[in-house]
Amino acid sequence: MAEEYLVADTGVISYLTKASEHSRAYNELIGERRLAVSFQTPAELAAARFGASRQQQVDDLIAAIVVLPHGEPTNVWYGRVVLRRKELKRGGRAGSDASDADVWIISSALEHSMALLSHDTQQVHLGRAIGLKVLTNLDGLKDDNPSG
Amino acid sequence: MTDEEDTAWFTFTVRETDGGGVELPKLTRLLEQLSSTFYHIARTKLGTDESRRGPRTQAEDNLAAIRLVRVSPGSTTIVLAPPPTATQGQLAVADEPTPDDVAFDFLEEIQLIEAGEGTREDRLEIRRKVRAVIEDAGEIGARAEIVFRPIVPRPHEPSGTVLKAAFRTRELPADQPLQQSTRRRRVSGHAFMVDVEPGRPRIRLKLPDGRDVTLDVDEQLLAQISTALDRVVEVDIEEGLEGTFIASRVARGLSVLPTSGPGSDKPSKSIDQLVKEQNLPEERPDYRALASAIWETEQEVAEFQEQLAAMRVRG
Repeated sequence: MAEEYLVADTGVISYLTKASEHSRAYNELIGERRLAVSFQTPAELAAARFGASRQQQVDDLIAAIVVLPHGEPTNVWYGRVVLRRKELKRGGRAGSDASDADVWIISSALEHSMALLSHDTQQVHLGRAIGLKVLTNLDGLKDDNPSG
Repeated sequence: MTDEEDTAWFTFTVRETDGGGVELPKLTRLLEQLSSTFYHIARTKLGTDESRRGPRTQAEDNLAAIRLVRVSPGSTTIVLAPPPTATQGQLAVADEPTPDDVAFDFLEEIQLIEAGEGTREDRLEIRRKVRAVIEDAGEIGARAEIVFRPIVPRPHEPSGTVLKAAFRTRELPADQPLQQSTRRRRVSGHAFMVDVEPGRPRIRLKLPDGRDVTLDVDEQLLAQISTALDRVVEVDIEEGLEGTFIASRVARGLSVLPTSGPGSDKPSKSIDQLVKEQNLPEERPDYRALASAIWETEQEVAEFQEQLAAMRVRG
């Protein structure tokens, strides 16, 4: 692979805007890497209410980011992540409240062996609990960001 | 003897039977062993002694039918169907054994056993199966007789020749013990069945040529085979040989191979393939600028985060 990629969670993409207080931190975490998103992200962006005036900008953003499609391997990873979430719930540990959308996004990152960029506490905990490299600017979690 | 037996292509008669009848399980076992042995001889003559794909040979089809079984006081007679293709004058497919060839080999092996003679190395499994037929016959009666009327005369034999062999079915002369050895092989295939029950763990593979093979599995591989189901695996096999006959096959090593097929966790397309397919720009995009065009204020970011949180129902 010529260039390194990061999977961005849907939520973290909005923090890239210069209007966000997290903009600088997340743009620095991305560095020179390129972004990928799970198949889940275009669906969530389509479901959000942007209004006609912003749709073209949303389309431009999606067109600039590689979308990781859903496939049989994603299902295999989904099963493993759900199992880990269940184990966390049994132990009453952080990450057990991650949504199914979080699970799919983690599964896409695991399938393609990419690190995940996330500003979602439950997603960060669950991803790290299953061994995924997760980068975040969340207080209390950013200190455990993997180096490199 | 009935008229049918007088003209039958091949009859196998067990004599000196015990009592007035035959227990059905014993008869069934003999019939199955007889068919199985004929099939095996046919396959050996074709150069394959394992299960195979494709249509059956003429010999297999023709010999499959048991024409009749007659049980009378003191004897049980099995009449095999005369080979219809031969009587209809059809030619066998090139290099396929004819039913006569198979029956002749069977008869010859019986005579060798009766004479206490050994057999060729490449016929050890035929010897084993023919002995099994005799032993099954021995469960029914003390002696047996074969009457074989070849459809096509053997070389140097006049037309209408009837070949006969009478032999004992019990206390057979012992065969020379076979030389035992082991060899290692490595195969790969799709593991479509695993059995992790204590006592006899097994794995069944679909090989690339379509054949299925069932392997006993070393107890030390129990944990591995439970993860091998529906995966493509490579298996190190230890084969136990008696002469050239494979008496046992045990999987001693197993590794799951990476694939993109069902059950695989590897993506079917690389990131480079996806980038190409999705016509992404060659230059690295300015993600900050693209996001800034959508969310212009902190308020818009907050509203989007709220919508997203509402979409992601938490467990």
